[in-house]
Amino acid sequence: MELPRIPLSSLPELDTLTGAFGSLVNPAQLKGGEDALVVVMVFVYDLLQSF
Amino acid sequence: MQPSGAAAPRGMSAALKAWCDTYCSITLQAELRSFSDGQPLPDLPQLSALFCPHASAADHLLSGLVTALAAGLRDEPDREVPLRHFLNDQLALLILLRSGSALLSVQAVQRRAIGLPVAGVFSPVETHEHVLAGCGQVIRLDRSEDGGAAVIGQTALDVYGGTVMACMGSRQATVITRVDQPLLMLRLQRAQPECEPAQLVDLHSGRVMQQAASNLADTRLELAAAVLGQMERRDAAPGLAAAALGLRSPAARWQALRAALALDSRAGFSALSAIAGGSEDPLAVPAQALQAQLLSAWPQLRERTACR
Repeated sequence: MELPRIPLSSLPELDTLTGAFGSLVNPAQLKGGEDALVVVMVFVYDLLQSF
Repeated sequence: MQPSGAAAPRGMSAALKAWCDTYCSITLQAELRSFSDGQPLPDLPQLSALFCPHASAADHLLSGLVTALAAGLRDEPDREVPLRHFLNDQLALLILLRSGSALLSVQAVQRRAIGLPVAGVFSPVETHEHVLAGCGQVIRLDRSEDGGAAVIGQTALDVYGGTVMACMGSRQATVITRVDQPLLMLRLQRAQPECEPAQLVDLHSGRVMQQAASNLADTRLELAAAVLGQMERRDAAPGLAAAALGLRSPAARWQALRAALALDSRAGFSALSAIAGGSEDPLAVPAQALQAQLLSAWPQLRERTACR
């Protein structure tokens, strides 16, 4: 007897969705969001450099 | 070693290296590493001196930096400053030193009236700030729970050269509301070990309007789980199942669990059962519901995972 293949789409998400790091940028705030944006930019840059 | 009589190295990189050698001592860098590892700031003499309102250490560090950058730009006028930075019409930010999750940066905020905030971002990040020049006003936000609902206390503070502020984690935040004279601030931050998300909270109602991962590692795990799942990399299932049981945020662990279940139902269901049985686990309730759902659809999962 084989174990089932469970379709990913049939597996529920959590009730509360959490965005990716850096996606919480509130234009009214100078703090927090801007730093996250810098880190995301650096992360993407580092990824591109590694290829 | 510099040969005797040879000209000293010139250019931006040499100027910046000289600044780092002179002003960012090995002790300071080691203390930043200790701060990242969780040591309290008062236990780190050189680092805490930068955030002492009456000490000149921060002025000394930054005047040395400005001198070095000016010398570098004089030698190489077209050269970009080789420090990680961000610039828009309101804010300039330079990252000076980084170790683990600890970050020492300097930021300049342009003069403007921003107005009272309607929402605040609360992140599990410890932040220390030292205003070196300029003046303005910030609102300090303190978040508490009252019968399940969040209550946000607001305190207006005038800030000027010498003001030192600290925000400890996801219960406190500060928002700049007015800048009368451009603010120059030295800032030290470290991520707290808890993997709580960063949350945007409505200050009036206390309602969470939006939330996002507060660190890159959580998002990296979610992306890896999504990519490996779509690539049908069954060999990644044990690693994803282990990640689902690991120390990352509940949201990232849940995505790893979903991918593990889809790639290899044995490894995934074993992790699911462990999570469902953990009374302290924040994912226990949704895991129990999913476990019941899967067992109802595929009863053989119980037998096969039981006889491993």
